[in-house]
Amino acid sequence: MKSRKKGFPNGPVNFFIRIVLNGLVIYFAFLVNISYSETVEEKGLRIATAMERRDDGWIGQTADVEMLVNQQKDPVYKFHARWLEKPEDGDKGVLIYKYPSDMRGVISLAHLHRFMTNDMWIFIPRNKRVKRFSSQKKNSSFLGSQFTNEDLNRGEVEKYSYRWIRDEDYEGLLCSVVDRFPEESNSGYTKQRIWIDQKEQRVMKMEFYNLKNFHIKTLYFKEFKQYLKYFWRESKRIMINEQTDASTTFLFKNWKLKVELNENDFVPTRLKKLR
Amino acid sequence: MKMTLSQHASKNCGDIFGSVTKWDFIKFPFFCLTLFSLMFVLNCSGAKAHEIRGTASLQARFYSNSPIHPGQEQNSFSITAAPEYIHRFDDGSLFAFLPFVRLDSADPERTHFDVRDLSYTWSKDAWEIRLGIRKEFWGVVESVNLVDIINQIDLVENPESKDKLGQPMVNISFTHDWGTFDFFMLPYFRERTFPGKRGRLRLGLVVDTDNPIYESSAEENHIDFAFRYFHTIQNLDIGISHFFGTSRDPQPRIGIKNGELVIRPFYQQMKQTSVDLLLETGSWIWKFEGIYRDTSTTLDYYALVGGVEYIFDGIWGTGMDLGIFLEYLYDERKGVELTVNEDDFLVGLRFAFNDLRLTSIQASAQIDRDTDTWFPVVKASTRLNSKWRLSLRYLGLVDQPSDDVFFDLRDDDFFEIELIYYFY
Repeated sequence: MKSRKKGFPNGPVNFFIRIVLNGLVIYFAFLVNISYSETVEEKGLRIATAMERRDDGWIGQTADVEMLVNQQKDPVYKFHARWLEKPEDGDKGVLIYKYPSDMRGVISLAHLHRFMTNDMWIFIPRNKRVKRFSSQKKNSSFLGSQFTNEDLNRGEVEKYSYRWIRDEDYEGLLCSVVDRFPEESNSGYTKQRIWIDQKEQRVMKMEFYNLKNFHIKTLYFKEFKQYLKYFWRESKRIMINEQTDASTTFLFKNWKLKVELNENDFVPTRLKKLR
Repeated sequence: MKMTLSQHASKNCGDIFGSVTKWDFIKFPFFCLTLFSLMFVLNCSGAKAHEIRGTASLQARFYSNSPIHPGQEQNSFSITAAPEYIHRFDDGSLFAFLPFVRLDSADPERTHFDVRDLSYTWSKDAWEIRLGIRKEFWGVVESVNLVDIINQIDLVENPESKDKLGQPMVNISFTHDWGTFDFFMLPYFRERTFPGKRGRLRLGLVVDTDNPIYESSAEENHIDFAFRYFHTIQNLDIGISHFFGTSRDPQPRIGIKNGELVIRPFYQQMKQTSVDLLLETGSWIWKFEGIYRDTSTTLDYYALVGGVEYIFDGIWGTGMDLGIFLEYLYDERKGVELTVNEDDFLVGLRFAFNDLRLTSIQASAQIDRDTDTWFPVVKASTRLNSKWRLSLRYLGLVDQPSDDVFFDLRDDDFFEIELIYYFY
């Protein structure tokens, strides 16, 4: 940019040329804009980006999480979860295990990244050891549930490509249906089909297609509540295995948003204090 | 009132285990400091942010061969208790107390008591201060964590040297964007535990833990220092540490006790600089630990262990995963001094079922390249219900030549079954 300016001669004539050139640039930009029609890929990306933007600004949040399997009444796992918003790179989260007793005090830490693979660590209280947890274990089941490790994070926008499919009503809400295709290696899916509520920009439902492009699982987000008159959080996530009908439910309780969390609690060397 | 209770308790324990347990470290002023914070905790009324949890366990070890050293018992049965009290103050600071006791049917030396944790942790912004008896783990590899030097090995607990004794310390930690700095002042030294005359997994000569030899005239009151820097740069974890003080690894010295030859542990002074690295690239995890140790009485040396782990994930279309690891251990003292991990390979695999019971199986073998001695270990663990876990272990020793350090342990391969009860 700078070098081009340097090369441009000064003077009244050149000033005239500049005006003409600028005019042309504006004209062409205008032309392009008119003739521009958004592709389905661009529309998908735009919807996904807008959805992520809509939820910006929660700063820090905490919740109590319970995991139930196959509609049983008693939870098989209980956690306390904390997330720290890091808009420029990717959020950070810790999961503090509360139940069952043999897992109490185990803490997992995740640093999500927009442009790199995520980093994860796990603190094991028995020997006070912090171990790196391989981010490649995406297809491993999370504690025997219908969720794999990959399903736990909603996924940063940059890690997928998108395609808008259609708009349709889902449970009385007008939704955009968007396919997203994982770009990272070792994903267990060819695509995930997402239903996004157009008014409030919330994910309502997600279908998972395995590498053979079979629809294997469906995740439902249920019982949304609005917090601080702005942020929507679900109270329930249910993953149903389409082949076996087995299901796993995550219950979210005591959502707290805009919580001041200490970023130093989200480093591997500080996990032991969180037990 | 609680104060007298705990005094009473310690006195009682002293009576029970007086012959086998050293209670010296209780005299240590440090203990008083943490006791002060304990009193403070108990005086806080109405606070809800505390809990009591812990474990109790039953363990049986069955040895396939008869003992070869006089005095040894065949099998052993033992119970443990490790309750933990945790209190979180309103300002976020934390008090923790975790005593541990094991009662063993065979070996009075294995019947032992330890304070694993009695500490107060306070933090503000980038600073964290940890006072009291604690455990601090460093290291990345599966086989031998050379860099892990703060805590003494509780060898009677576990011949794999993975269990550690509580270490009194002042630890100041500073965390910043460019890493975590830890400074340690370690004012009291803990001696390694060794199996007694009646215990298995020992050398022909019994280690006389009552009569250690120290290089320092301050003996166990020598003040040790350590420093550590740890940082994560993308997919690389890096740790650099330096330690100076009393070596955790005793040298054997021959002595006489009650007219019998015994081994007296000799603890020398040393300086150690170490590096540990872990790099995750896709399904590969690369690990390295290296130390350079400078002692006044023996030759300086370096030792290292490096290896790689590969993760197969979601195998057979299920939620299971399999990790395969290979490590190599080297010690410069090879051929010059008595060493254990001087030129060895470790191969192993870890199978995680990722089921609701969190079942896992791990099998590994450490192979000595010189002598072809190998040590197979198989471990499995599963949850029985929300309170109980079952774990099984086989530890073998195969093909020891008669000039090997472990020749005296040649018939001590065992099968262990452990039931652990978790309460809270």
